[in-house]
Amino acid sequence: MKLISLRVEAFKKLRHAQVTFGPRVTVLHGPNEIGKSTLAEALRAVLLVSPGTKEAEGFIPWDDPKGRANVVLTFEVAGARYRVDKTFGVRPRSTLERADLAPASAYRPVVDGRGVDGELRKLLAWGVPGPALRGQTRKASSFLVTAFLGRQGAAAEIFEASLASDGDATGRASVTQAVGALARDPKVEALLEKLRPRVALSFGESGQLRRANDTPVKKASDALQQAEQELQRLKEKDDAAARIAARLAQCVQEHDVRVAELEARRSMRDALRAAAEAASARAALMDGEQRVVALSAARAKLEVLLADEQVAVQTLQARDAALTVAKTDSRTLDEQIAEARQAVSARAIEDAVRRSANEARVADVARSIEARESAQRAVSEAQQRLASAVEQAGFEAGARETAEAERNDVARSLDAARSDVVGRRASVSHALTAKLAAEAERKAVLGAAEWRRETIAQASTEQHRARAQREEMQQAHAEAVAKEAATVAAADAARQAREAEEVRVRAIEAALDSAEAERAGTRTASSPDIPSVPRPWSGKRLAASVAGVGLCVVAVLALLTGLPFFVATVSILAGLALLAGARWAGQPGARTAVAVHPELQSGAIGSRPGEQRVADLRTQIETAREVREASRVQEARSQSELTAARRVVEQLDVALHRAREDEKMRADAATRSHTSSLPGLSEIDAKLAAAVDAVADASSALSAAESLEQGLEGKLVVATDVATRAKVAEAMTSDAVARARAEAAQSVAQLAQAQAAETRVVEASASASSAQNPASSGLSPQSELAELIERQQFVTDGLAAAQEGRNKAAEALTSARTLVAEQRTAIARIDGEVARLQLDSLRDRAEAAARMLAQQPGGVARAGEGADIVLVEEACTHSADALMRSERDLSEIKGELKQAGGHATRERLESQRELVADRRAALEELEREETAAHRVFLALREAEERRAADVGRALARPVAERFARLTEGAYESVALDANLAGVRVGVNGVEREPDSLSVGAREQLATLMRLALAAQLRTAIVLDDQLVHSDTSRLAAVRTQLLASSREREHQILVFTCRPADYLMPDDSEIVAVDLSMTLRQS
Amino acid sequence: MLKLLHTADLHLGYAYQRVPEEPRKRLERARLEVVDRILRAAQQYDVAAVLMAGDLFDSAEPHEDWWRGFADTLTRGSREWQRPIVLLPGNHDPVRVGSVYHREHAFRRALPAWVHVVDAPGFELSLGDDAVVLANPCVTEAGAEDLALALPERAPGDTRLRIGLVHGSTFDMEGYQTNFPIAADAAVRRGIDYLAIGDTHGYRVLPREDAVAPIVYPGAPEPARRGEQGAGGVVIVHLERPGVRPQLLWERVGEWSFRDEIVESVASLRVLAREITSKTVLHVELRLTVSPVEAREIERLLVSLEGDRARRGKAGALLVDRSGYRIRAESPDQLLSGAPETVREVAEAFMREGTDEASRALRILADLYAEVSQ
Repeated sequence: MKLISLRVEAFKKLRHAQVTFGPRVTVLHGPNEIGKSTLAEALRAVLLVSPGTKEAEGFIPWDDPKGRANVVLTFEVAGARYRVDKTFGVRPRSTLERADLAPASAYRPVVDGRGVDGELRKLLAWGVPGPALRGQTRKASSFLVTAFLGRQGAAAEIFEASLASDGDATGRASVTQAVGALARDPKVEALLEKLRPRVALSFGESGQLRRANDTPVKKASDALQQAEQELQRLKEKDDAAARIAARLAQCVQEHDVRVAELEARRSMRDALRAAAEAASARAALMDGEQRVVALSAARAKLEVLLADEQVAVQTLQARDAALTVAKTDSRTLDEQIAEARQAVSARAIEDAVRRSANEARVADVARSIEARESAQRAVSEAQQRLASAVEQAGFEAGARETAEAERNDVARSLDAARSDVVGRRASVSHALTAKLAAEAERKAVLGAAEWRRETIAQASTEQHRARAQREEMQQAHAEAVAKEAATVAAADAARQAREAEEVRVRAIEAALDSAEAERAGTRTASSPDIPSVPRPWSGKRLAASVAGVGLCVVAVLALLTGLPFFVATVSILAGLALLAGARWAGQPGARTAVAVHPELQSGAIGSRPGEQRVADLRTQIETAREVREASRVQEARSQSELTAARRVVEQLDVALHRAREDEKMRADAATRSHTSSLPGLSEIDAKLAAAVDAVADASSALSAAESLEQGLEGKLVVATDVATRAKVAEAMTSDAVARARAEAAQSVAQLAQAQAAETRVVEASASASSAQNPASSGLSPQSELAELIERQQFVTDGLAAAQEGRNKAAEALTSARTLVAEQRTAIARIDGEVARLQLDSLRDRAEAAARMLAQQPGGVARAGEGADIVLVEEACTHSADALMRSERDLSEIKGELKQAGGHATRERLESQRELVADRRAALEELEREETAAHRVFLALREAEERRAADVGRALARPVAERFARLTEGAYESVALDANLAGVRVGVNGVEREPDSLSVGAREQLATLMRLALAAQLRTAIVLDDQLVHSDTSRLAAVRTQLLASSREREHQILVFTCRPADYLMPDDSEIVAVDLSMTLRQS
Repeated sequence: MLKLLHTADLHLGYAYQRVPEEPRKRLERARLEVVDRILRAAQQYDVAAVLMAGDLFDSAEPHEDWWRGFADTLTRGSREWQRPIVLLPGNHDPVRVGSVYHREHAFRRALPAWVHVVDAPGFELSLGDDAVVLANPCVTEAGAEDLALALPERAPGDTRLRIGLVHGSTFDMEGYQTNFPIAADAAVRRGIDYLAIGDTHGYRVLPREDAVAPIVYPGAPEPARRGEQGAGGVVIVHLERPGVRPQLLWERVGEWSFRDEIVESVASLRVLAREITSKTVLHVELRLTVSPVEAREIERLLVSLEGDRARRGKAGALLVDRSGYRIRAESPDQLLSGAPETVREVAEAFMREGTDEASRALRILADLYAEVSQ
C-alpha cells in the first residue's frame, strides 16, 4: 500500500489538516502537542475504524461534541488508487471510491456505508477481523496493524504481538506470501520454474500421468502404437508368407515323394519289363535249347528208328527169305508131291531138299532168335532210358517243388516285408505329421506367449489406469461428500439465520408498535425485549464441523476401500471429536451475538424520546428486513447449492461405483491374463524333439524294412528263376519220360512181334524137321506123298504164316519207315525251328535282357514275382497323375507366394520389431524420467513450502542482518517463532529475550523488525516518535537503513517526530519533509 | 579381357527409423551419394558395363525424390563415359504395374539411353561380339523359381562370355526356397561364366572361392543395418574367356559403418568418444552402475558422441541402450555443493530411499541444479 494524501477535518483537536506524502520517506515534524499523533490516529481511523462504533465516538471534535469528524485518505494498492472518506460522530458516513491508474480514470464509487470497512480490510489484508457493529467497542487490531501503525512511543509492542492472536487469517497470508518469498531460495525457485512446465505438461492435478495429445508420453505412446500397428500388419503378412512357405515346403516334399514314387514305379515297371524280357528271352533260349535237345533226341530216335527199319528190312528180308524158302518148300513139296506122286526115286533129291530146308529153317530160327534178342535188347535199353527218364523226372519234380517252396517262402516273406514297409511308411508319415503339428504347435505357443505377454502388459496398464481413475473418483467423491456436509451446515446456518432474523423483525415490529403506541400515549411501559440474533455457526465451528464430517466420510470410505481398521477408527474418532468441538464452539458464538444490539436488549431504547425511538426502530426494522431478505436469499442459495452438491455426490457415487467395477474388472482381467495357462514351450519343444526322434526312428526302420524288402525281392527273383528253370526241366524230363515210355512200349511190341516170329519160325522149323524126318524112313512114296501132302499143307500153312510174317515184317518195315520218315520230318521241322530260332540271337537277347535286368537294382525285387506289370503300369499312371496334381498344387502355391511378402517383408518386420522395441524402451524411459522429474518437483515444492511457511525463520534473517549492522555486530542473531512472536536475540551464543536489552536497543530492534515486515510487504509504515532513546550514531544508522529500505523495496516510511534534525539532512533529496506546524490547524 | 563392375542392394529410400532425425537424413542420403563413387570406380577401372543386381530401391514405389535423384546421378555420373548400366529389379523393388521399373513410369523416361532396365524375363544385352549379359528380373516380392536356372543354356558353338544377372537367395541360406532360390550349380548348368546376383548385403563368393563359374554377392555399397559383414563395396570382375575363372577385386566405395559397443566402464566410453569416426552409427549398450558424478560424465560423453543443437556429434549417429545402466544413490555432496538447504534436504531424502526411481530423481535434481547454477 502506498499513501498519497490525507485530509482531516474536525478530528479530535485537529480542525483541519492536509498532508501529501512522499514516495519514500516522509518526515512529518512539529513541536509537541501540535497534533502529530492525532494525525497518525486519523490515518488509523480512516483505514480501520467504522464510523458509528464506540471507538469512533472518541474522534468527534473536541470543540463540538455534536460535530462530525471527517477524514479522507487517498492511497494506492494493487494497481489502483482509492479514496476513502469517513465521517465520524453524528450521522456517520463512509464511502470508498476507486480510480484506475493505467489508464487513468476518474473515481467511481466502490462501496459505501458499512461495506466500506469490509472492503478496506480486504484491500489491506492485515488480519483485522470484520468491522465492529455500530456502538461496539471492539478495536480494529492485528499483528500487522501493530507493525505498520505503531502507536507513539510504543515501538516495543511488536514484541508482544503475535500472528496467532489475529482475528482474521489475511494477515498471516500476507506475511506468508511476502516473507515466504524471502524464505524461498532463488535457486530452488529456478529449479521449480524449470520443472513446472514439464510437470504441468506430463501430469494432471491429481498427480496422474496425463494422456492428452500434447504430452510427450502420449506422443511416445502414439508413436509406439503406430509402430506396433505397422508391426502387426507386417506380422500378419509375414505369417501368411510363412504359412505359404510351409505349405510350399510340404508340397515340395510331397512333390519329391511323388517324383520318387513315380520313378520307383517306373523303375519297377522297367525292371519288370526287363525281367519279363529276360524271362522271355531265357524261355526262348531254353525253348531253343530244348528244341536242340529234342532235335538231338529226335535224331537219336531216328537212328533207332533207322536201326529198327534196318532190323525190319532185315526181318522182311528174312521173312522174304523165309517166304521164299517156304515157297520154295511149297514148290519143293509141290514138286515132291509131284515127284512123290510121280516118283519114289526122287527120294534122294527129297532128302537133299529136306536137308536144305532144314538148314534154311535153322537159319530162320537163328535169325528169329537174333531178331528177338535184338528186340529184347531194344526193350531193355528202352526200359533203361525210361527208368532213367523217370528218375530224372522225379528229380526234376522234386527240384521244382523245392524251388517253388522256396519261392513261396520268399514271396511270403516279401509280402510280410512289404506290409512292414507300408506300415513303416505310414509311421514315417505319422511321425512327419506329428513333427509338423509339433512345429506348428510350437509356433502357435510362441505366438500365444507373445500375445499373452502383450495382453498382460495391456491388462496391467488398464488395471493401473482403472485404479488411478478409481482413486481419483474416490478423492473427488470424498471432497464432494465433504462439500455436501459443508453445504448442509451452511444451509442449516442460513435457515437458522433467516429464522432468527424473522423473529427479530417480528420483535422490532412489536417494539415499533409499542413505541408508536407509546408515542401516541397508548403505552407507558418500556418496550418489550427484542431477542438477539443468535449466531448459529461461527467460522471456527463451521470449519470444525466440516472437517469432522469430512474426516468421518473419508474414514468410512477408507474402511470401505481397505485402509487398516485402526487408521479408519482413529479418523472416525477424530471426526467425531471435531464435531463435538464444533458444537461446543458454537456456544460462545451465540453468546457473543447477544451483544449486537445492547440498546434493544437492555430496553434503553424505551427511554429515548418517542419520535427518535420510532425513527430508530423504523430504521432498524428496515435494516432487519433487508437482513432477513438477505438471509432468505442466502438460505435459498444454500438450498440450491445443497441440491447441486447432493446431485454431484449422487453422480460421483454412481461414477465411483462404476470405477470400482471397472477396476475390479481390470484386476480380474489382469489376474486372468497372469494366470491363464499356456502349454509350456519346453513341453512343446520336448514334444517336437520326440517327434523329430520318432521321424528319425521311423525313417531308419523304414530304411531297414526297405533293405529287407529289396533283399527279399532279389531272393524272390532268384527263387522264381530257379522255380521256372525247374519247371522247364521238369517239363523236359516229362517229355523225355513220355518219349522213353513210348519207345519202351514200341520196343516191347517189337519184342513181342520178334518172339512171336521166333515161335512161329521155331514151330515151322520143328514142323519142317518133323516133316523131313518121318518116323520111318522107310516110308513109301505114298506115305511120303501123303506125308508130303501133309507137309505141303503144313508148309502151306507155314507159307501162309511166313507170308503173314512177311506181311507183318513188311508192315513193320513200312511202319518203321513211316516212323523214320515222320522222325525225319520232325527232325526237319525241329531243325527248321531251331534254324528259325536263331539260337545265337536268342542267346544274345537273353544276355542283353540279363544285363538290362542287372541294371535294375532292386526293381525286380521290389516288384516281386507276384507283381503284375499291368498293375505296376496302372500304379505308374496313378503316380504320374498324383505328380501332376502335386505340380499343379505347387504351381498354385507358387502363385500364392508371389502375392506374399517374402524376405522383403521379413526384413521390414525385423526392422519394425527393433523400432517397436526402441519405442517401447523410450516410452518406458520417458515415463520413468517424467515420474522421477515429477517426484523431484513435488519434493522440492513441498520442502520449499514447508520452509516458506516458517515466516519467523524467514524474517529473522533480514532483521538480524539489519540489527547486526546497526549494533556493529554486538548481536549476532535474531530468532522469531512461526507467529513472528517470541523474539530472541543471540549474544555470544546465548539467546536472550528483548527485555534483557537496553531500552534503546529494544526500540531499535522493534523498529527494524517492523521495517523489515513493511519492506517485505512493500507497504507504508508509520513511525510515531520512535527511537527517542537512541543515540546520535544509532539514529543515523537507523536513518540510513530507512532510506535504503525505502529505496530498495520501494515502500513508504512516515516518520512523525518532534526532532526533524534527527532525520533531515541538508543534502538529502529522498526525504520529503512536512512541517506540521504549517499544515495543521487546531481547534 | 572383359571388365565389369558388379553392385547391388542400394536400397534407396531405406528408412533408418531407429536413428534420430538429423543423422537419419544423412544416412539415407548416403545411399544415393555412394552411386557417384560407384560410377567413378567404374570409370577408373574402365569397365565395359555396370551391373546392378537388384534391390536398388527399398520398395517398388519409392518416393519421387529417390528415383529422380537416382536417375540424375546415373545421368550425371556416366554422361561422358556412356557404357551400359544394367538395372535389375529385386525382391524389394520387383517390376510390376505401377512400379518404378515399369515402362510407363517416369523414371524410365528420366534414364539415359545407355542405362538398361531388365523389365521382362529373357533380357539379353551383347557386350561386343564376345560377351553377353543374360538376366531375369524379380516380378514379385517372393517366388520359388530359380531365376538363374531360367536363363537360357549355352548353345552349342557359342564361345562368348556369358554373364548371368539375377536376384535371389543361394541354396545355403535359410528360407531360400521362397526367395528366388539359386542352385549351387546354376552357373555351370546354364553355361554361365559369371553369375552376378544380389540380395545379401555382405560380399560372398559361391559355391567356393576357386569356382570356375562363380556366383557372387557384391554386398550393399552402404550398410543398412547392424551386423552386415562385408558390406560397403563393389566387385570389379575380370573375365578372360569361358572356362577360365574370373578374377574378382572387391573395391570399397561405402563411407558409413555400424559399430556395436558394450560399455562397462566410464574409461571405455572415454576411449570410444576419442576414437569414433563421424560416419559411424554407434550402438552403445550401457552395462554399468555408476556414481552420480560419473553419471554426469557419461551424459557429457554421450552428448559429445551424439551432438547437441549447436554442435555435431563425434559419431554419425548414436543409439543408446540404457537397460543395463544404473546410478548409485550416493551422497549428493559433490553434486550439490553450495546448494540451498531445501535442495540438499530433498537430495538426501532420495539418497536414503535408495530405489532406482529415487536414484533417477537424484540424477535429475543434480543435473537441473547444475544447469541452474550455471
